[in-house]
Amino acid sequence: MLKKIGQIFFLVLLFSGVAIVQFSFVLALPSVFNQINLTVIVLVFTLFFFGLRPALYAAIILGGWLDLYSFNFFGLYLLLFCLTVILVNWILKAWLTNRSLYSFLLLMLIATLTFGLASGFLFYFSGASSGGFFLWSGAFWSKLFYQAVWSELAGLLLFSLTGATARRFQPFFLEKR
Amino acid sequence: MVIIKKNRLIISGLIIAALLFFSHLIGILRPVENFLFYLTKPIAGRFYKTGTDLKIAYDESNTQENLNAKVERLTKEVAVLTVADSRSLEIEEENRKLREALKFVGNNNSRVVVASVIAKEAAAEDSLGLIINRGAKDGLAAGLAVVSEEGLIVGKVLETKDTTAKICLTTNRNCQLAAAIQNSNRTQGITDGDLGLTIKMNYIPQLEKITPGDIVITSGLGEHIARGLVIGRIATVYNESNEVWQSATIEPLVNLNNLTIVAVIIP
Repeated sequence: MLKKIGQIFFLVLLFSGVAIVQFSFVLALPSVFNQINLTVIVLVFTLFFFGLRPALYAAIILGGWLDLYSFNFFGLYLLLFCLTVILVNWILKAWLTNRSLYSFLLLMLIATLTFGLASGFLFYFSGASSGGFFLWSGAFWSKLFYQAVWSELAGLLLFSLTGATARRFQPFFLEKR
Repeated sequence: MVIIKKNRLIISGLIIAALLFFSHLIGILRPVENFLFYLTKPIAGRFYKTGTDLKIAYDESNTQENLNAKVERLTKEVAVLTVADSRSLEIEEENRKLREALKFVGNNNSRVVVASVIAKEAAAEDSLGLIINRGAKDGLAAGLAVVSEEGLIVGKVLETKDTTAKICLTTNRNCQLAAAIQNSNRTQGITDGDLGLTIKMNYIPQLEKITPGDIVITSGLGEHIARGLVIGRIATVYNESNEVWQSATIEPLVNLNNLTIVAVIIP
């Protein structure tokens, strides 16, 4: 019981830290580096290696913190993260037959694109975006491109580190019966 | 029923998210939110300062070759400004004597609230502004002027929560200020941000004479913002003889991307 409480407390602290680092530290970095979307990277990593339940906890904690500090409507980030987790989970279960590096990178890419496009729509229709329609904006696509590149690089690094650290996380194939 | 059972984890997650949303909406969560802000604002401020310091170091390493030229230019500017400053001190003293003689009472009761920048607000395609660690409980309200450590206006307050506020920078789109140019005509207009890099002043009548180097200040015609706060300096004038209006780009006198400490002027 105590161990479980300790684990939950650790997860809450970890995801809260990621959220604070994302909106305070990452966005203050120079232009190319501030496109890293740590929250999506952590979300996909959690889903891929630890399952849906921890990923949903992560989505709620990350979304809660970002909504707390954001001046957009409360619930925007909660909605975005939950949507991303649900979609990526469905793709993992329905389409991917193994837990390999390629499937992890594919999920990371899909998650980044989903989050980027969904946030674009929500920012635009909530009036938070200051320009014209975001799909016609070069800055939007440039930002999405850099986010995808950083996500893939981070995915590669995390997968390699995790595989080297524990046998449990080494890739395996699922046989379809 | 089978679908619900199969997806009960997702449905539980969505219900928790919805509960959080409604709790926030009706205000039950406010004490918890304020407590979380109290805990995390110093940490967020520290992280933001570290990120900004890294950004400054990165930018400086890329512009090493321009620094000597910049130092030379600034040395000359300091000399010119010293002369202007001594003249303005004389004018200020004269003004004070005349006010005393006329028993003219000033109405400058404004106070200043100093704040740290703790985060950037990110939107779909560009950053919309900064988040500071002071809010409505400190007396802040929408529309108040935000100045840098040097006293130059860098933006205004857009929205406030209890303990935080969002500010837009003068280079952000839709961050408009009522402005006046310190030229012979005292040309007035509205400034607006342009692509997060510079400030533009449009719809200036063709007959107004403006030159690069003219200082642009707040005109005092905007609500809550006093006259005389320096916005920037005219960098380029766009003047076509067949156009009805002319426009100008204004260069801010501080780097708005490296702000970590600001002050809000409360009239």
